[in-house]
Amino acid sequence: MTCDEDHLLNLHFHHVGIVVEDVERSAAIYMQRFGYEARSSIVHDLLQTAYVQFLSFPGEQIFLELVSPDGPESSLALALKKGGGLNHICYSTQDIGETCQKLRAAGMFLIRPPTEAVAFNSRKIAWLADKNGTLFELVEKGPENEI
Amino acid sequence: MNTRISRVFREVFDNAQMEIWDEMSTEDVAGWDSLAQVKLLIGLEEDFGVKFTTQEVTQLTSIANIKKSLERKLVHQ
Repeated sequence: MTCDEDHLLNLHFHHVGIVVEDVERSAAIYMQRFGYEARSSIVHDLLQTAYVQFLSFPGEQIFLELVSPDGPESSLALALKKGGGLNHICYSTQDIGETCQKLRAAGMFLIRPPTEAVAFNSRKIAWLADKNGTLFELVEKGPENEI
Repeated sequence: MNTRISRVFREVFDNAQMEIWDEMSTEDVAGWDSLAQVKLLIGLEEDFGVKFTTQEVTQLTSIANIKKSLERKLVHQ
């Protein structure tokens, strides 16, 4: 994939999503093992059919998102069945609609157009994938020091 | 058209001997899941120079449907 206007996208690295079986248990391990701290409570995101919690190192604005399926019908159930682990990369962007259009024009596939997400205080997220099957999430830029 | 579709399927499923037929659907191919579907659609977009919609990810689950969609898009190009 190429994008001649990379520099115009103005993306910022936001988080890496990791699929786990149990968010609470995994968060405890990450906090104890690496020194992460919880940056959100565990949220039930009905749209994503998942339980979600954000961690970060103290003072940092780059996050780890732990996600687990909320049941056997969850869109994440297959990912967990395949072993879970690294799942997606998320970038924040000022204009999510325009960014989706540019990435689509650059050959990525839009899996889910911009939609409000409870895990981000109703800011919009979108999902794309590239030819390798790597999943990318976009999230609308939020206020400073917010997730 | 079959040859080009077949080439994309063989690449995505890494199977040089893979055969396709019109009635073939997601139920006939191990691994034809949502992620493989996206890889297939991107491969077909690149090969045929068309664009699929987000809705088509869940609609184009058989070779027959893929061919119908491609034919529609190619006519309107």
